[in-house]
Amino acid sequence: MKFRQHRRARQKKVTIEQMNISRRTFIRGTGSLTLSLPLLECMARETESDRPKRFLALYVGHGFALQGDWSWYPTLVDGKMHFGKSMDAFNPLAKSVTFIQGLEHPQCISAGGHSTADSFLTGSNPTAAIKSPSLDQIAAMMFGHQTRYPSLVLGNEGGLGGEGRSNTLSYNRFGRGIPSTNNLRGLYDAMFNSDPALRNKQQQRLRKDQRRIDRVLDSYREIKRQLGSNDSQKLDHYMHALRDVEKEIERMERWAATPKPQILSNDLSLDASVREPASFIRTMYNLLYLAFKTDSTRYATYMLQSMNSSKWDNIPITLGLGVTHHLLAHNAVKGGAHLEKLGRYDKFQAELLAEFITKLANTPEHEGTMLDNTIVLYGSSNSQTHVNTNYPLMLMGGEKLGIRQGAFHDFGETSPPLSNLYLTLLNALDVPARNFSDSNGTIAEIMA
Amino acid sequence: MSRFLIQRCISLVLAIAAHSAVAGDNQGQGFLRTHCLNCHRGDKKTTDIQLDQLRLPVNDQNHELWTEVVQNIQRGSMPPEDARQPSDIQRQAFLETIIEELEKYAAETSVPSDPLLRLTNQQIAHSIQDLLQTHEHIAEQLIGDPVDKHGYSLQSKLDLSGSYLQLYAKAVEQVVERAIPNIETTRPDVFRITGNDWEKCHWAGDNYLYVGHRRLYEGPQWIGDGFEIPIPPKHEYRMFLRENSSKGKFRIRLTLRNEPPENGQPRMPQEIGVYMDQSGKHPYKLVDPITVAAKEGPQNFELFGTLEDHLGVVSDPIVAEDRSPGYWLKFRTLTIVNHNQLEGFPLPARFMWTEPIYLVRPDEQWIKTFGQIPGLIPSANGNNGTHGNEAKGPPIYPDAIKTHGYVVIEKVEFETPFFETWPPATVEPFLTKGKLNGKKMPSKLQAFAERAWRRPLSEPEAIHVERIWAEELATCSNEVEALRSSIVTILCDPRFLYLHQSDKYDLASRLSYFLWNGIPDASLFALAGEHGPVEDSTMERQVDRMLADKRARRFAQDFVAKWIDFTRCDQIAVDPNFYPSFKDRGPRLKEYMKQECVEFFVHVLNSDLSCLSFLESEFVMVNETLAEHYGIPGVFTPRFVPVTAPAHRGGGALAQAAMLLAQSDGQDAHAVNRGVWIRSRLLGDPPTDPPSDVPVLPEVAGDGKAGGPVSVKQRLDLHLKAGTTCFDCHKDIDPWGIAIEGFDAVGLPRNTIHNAGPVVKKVEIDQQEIDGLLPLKQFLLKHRHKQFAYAFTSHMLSYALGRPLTYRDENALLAVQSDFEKSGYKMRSLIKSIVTSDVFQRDVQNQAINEVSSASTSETKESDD
Repeated sequence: MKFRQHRRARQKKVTIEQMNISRRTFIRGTGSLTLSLPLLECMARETESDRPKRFLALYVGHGFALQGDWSWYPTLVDGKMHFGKSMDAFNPLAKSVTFIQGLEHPQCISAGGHSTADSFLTGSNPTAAIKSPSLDQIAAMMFGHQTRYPSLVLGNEGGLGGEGRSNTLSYNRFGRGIPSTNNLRGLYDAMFNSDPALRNKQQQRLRKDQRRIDRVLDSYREIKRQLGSNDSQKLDHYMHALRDVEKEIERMERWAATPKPQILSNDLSLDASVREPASFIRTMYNLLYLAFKTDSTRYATYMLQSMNSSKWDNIPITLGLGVTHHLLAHNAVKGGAHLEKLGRYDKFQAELLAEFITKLANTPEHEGTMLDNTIVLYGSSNSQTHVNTNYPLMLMGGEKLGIRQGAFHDFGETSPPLSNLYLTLLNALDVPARNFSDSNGTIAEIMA
Repeated sequence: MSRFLIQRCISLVLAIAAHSAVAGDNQGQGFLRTHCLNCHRGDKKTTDIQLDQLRLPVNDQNHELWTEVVQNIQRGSMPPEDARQPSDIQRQAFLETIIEELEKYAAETSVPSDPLLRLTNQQIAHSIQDLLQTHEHIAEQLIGDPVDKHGYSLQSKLDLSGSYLQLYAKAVEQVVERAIPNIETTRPDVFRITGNDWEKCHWAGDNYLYVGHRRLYEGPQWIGDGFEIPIPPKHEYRMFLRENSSKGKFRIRLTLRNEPPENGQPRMPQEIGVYMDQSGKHPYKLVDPITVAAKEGPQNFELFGTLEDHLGVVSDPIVAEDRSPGYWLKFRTLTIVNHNQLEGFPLPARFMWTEPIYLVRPDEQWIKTFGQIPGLIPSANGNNGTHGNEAKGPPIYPDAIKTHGYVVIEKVEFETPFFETWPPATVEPFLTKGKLNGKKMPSKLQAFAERAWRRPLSEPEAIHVERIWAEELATCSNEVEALRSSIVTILCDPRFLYLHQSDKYDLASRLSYFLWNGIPDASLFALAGEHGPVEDSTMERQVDRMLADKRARRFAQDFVAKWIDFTRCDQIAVDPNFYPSFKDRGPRLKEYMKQECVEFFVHVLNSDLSCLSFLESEFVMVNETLAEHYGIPGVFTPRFVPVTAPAHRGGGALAQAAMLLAQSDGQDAHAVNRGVWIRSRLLGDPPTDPPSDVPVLPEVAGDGKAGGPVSVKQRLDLHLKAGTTCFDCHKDIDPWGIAIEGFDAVGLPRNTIHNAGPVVKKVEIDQQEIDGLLPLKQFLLKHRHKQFAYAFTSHMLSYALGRPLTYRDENALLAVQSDFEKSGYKMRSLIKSIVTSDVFQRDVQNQAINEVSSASTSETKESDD
């Protein structure tokens, strides 16, 4: 039972943590020949809680081209990954990426061909009225208070989207979708803009919200009094909802006192629109990079391509591929030139992603790189359009979090639920979860 | 058997039942053992319902299971027909025993139903429309109401969270900001275009003309405002509006003339559709249909709409200088279509249907004027009068008007945002003599709160509203902002968001949310204010009044959306590889399919037809586009009209494409889903969930190659082969769906299934052979109409109450059903008997009755003293 051993190892880690020394640093340190005093001090400072452990999920609906030259998956030759045409941007990164085959959410297999987006990061049964919380939000629930924003929820299309084909990957602790944002300037302002006028406006806004809450709380109390012994759960939930909003206000106020990191907007194309998709996505990635670098958040999701979206479904047309992404994916089944077109779109996404990953890999952090502390999950919930099995998945970074990179896993034979992977990732992010949705264990193979 | 005898029997039964319960010798097990345990026990894998450990008394662990048992036996859905049946007396006795126990449990645990119900997203959105007199509908911006596995979202299940509240407040803020503009400043810029102003509109195809690289935009006077554009049948006229704001009301004014054909034949009425759509899309979002009467002289038309219903592609502001490729796709197109029949001209194949296909541009003059200018470069499609790529060949309208009557457009005017008055009507309720007056504001806001909270304000509530205003006034930078903020606070109040089921005011609310999905109007408010109970006849008069109001359409829309399952219909992506025609007309066809269901419902309601029409009808409701889809000839109007149902499909819900599409997978029909829909929606007998370890059937043909989908009949055969685990349930589900296998995913008849051979649609239900849709409908009509009445009644009752029905509602349900049957299945009578039923009024007045009874007890005590 590999995963049990893993858990035991984790328990051991807690005791090392109590010594205020990172276990990994400790092990590496003892491996070196000399162990000078200043280095020990360094280790003492670099505690596990200091090390930002980040997670980013990226999603492209409708699937990728998986056959022939344009295959999204690399081919293995003597254990070495050879990338196809769509993914050759990852050649220099081969040691930092892992491909996974043979996983899916078993509950989604019989769902509609375009109805699995909501479940991708939640593992929810697509027919369930209420989803379960998504991976990022579970981590944010535990550790989100450490940063200005517990999490960032991004999406090119923005908003919530329709049921089954959401425009967001994130679901809160009540299983309610969190609308994604595609407002570049809004994101910049929220994280980095310390213009006093803006701050003032924000303060006024918070005070107004607080006033409103106070007034409706009065009403709540009055109704509660009228009801007397007649309990109303609904009314209690209303009060809890108000408290949640209040907590959010408190949090915002607390962070308002903390100066924002200084990032100039000049280098960011904040005015990019859907008409320049590459520039837009690059700016989103840049904002994510800066958010991570300034420790404004540690958890983020980014819905690159929703299923049956509206504006963004047309991106392949803008890129000269002729038809919408939806159709591109449908046509790809016919193979040949059609498959190539989808491959070309995959390439478009892959190049932007590789650019982002390279940036993370080139930024030193805690005697490693940012990428080492960031787990990036990239994939889809369709292997080809309408097929809800064998999700194409890619895992990047997180080596300092215990992830082993440069591997190609095929779980097709045992076919554990995808939730097992998520549970493993949650544990790597220090969330002491024992279950995630329909998980029945962890996947030790992905860990070092 | 005489009634007396039956009563004797029942009391005898009761005695026996009571006796056995008292004796406690079987704990309900005798009945279960005889009739249920053969299948429902732990070692059988056919079902998740296991009754072998079920015992009396009812307790926390087993009360849900007991309730389910009771409901199934009450409905007669268990024991199944092929199993040994208990006698009526046995059945009754068992039920009495268990219900008594359930009641005892309910009394002991006394968990009264929640006195509050949250408004649904639709109800919230419509209430805000009513309160602010706005057209904006915020439902889409809110976190979706959860839907149960049958596609229903029941009010009793609704809740809210912090993120819901935040989203809601934000959406309301935006609506309020637009409804309460700053009237001190000048009226907002109005985009108005009359005739053909080059700066503001484009004619389709204008981008086919270039001078060098510069398109020809110039020349605002090229035709002028007074123009004459002939629109013969199947022709359309398009304006690309250089305007794309996403909110606000608009007005279109048309001056049209009805002209007789040039061959001397008399005038004919002309059916005109006025559409506003995304540019580049075919026109389908109807603003309004109009009929140009057959008479001489100009006729004026005024049409209103809201831009929210006619969104453009993007909401980025249009840059005047933007000349990027495809920039014109951003605009909205105003299209005026003549739907009348065009005879004697072959329609171009491009659209493959009898939609208008000839585009009229008033630019022959333009071409004549500019066509010879040196340096003008024709584009690939040419400026040779062939109208771009809209249709090849010379224009045919000069010929068409010789033999067909036609319409002449004399004037088109488009204006947005449109305000009938300034300050706009939405601000009016808060003004004193045309101005905002801080002193008078508390009373204005109190009046608003009274409507929003749907009851007269108590003294403390009135003070509360005053305080809101005082606080906002003290902190906001101006009065308008304070007013907006106060309104938002009033709309975030639990008194607005929740129905408080306590008194007659709630009866008024309940009624208005049932039939209008919005707030009660003054008449209902007054009714609630009257002393004494509301007479049944008064309730019935209100129902008639309310159903005649245009807000009743919200009820039809909401009920049908849930009943037919529009959510699912929206979710299913039709695969254009299987249905090429869906590539171009998909979105509008889907919209029209859904609208068909609503129009059908409205027609049954308004024409007072029997609800058995949902099982089979001699008519269908279609417009021209949908008629074309179904292959119904002779419908030449954008309106939905009742026409004779085609012989091959008949009418009713089962012939409606929206249902057939929703219960498909976008490629192939899905007989199992269709079967489940029939069982749940038409027969009120939803099949139980599949057991958790149900094996997955292969989706591809046996050779492992990704072939087409295996036909559902073949899948049923697999169900049979796989052993009894599947068969036990699917034998009662699949046949219903297989009978309509003759209709594909988009609701069209077929004889073969894509990649899977000929259609097999012959099934056996109740030992009767049924071969296809028409016999199935006849079978339902003949043998299952009572069951349908039961199902329809329970769907309607559950909708009206906003909660799922329980065994306690069974008597009320049967009473309402019996009224419904007696009325000849009239929907109006069904609605009336629901609103006058005890259960509707009890649900609402739960609390009030408690209060009254406790008050009367104390009075009695006093008199005793």
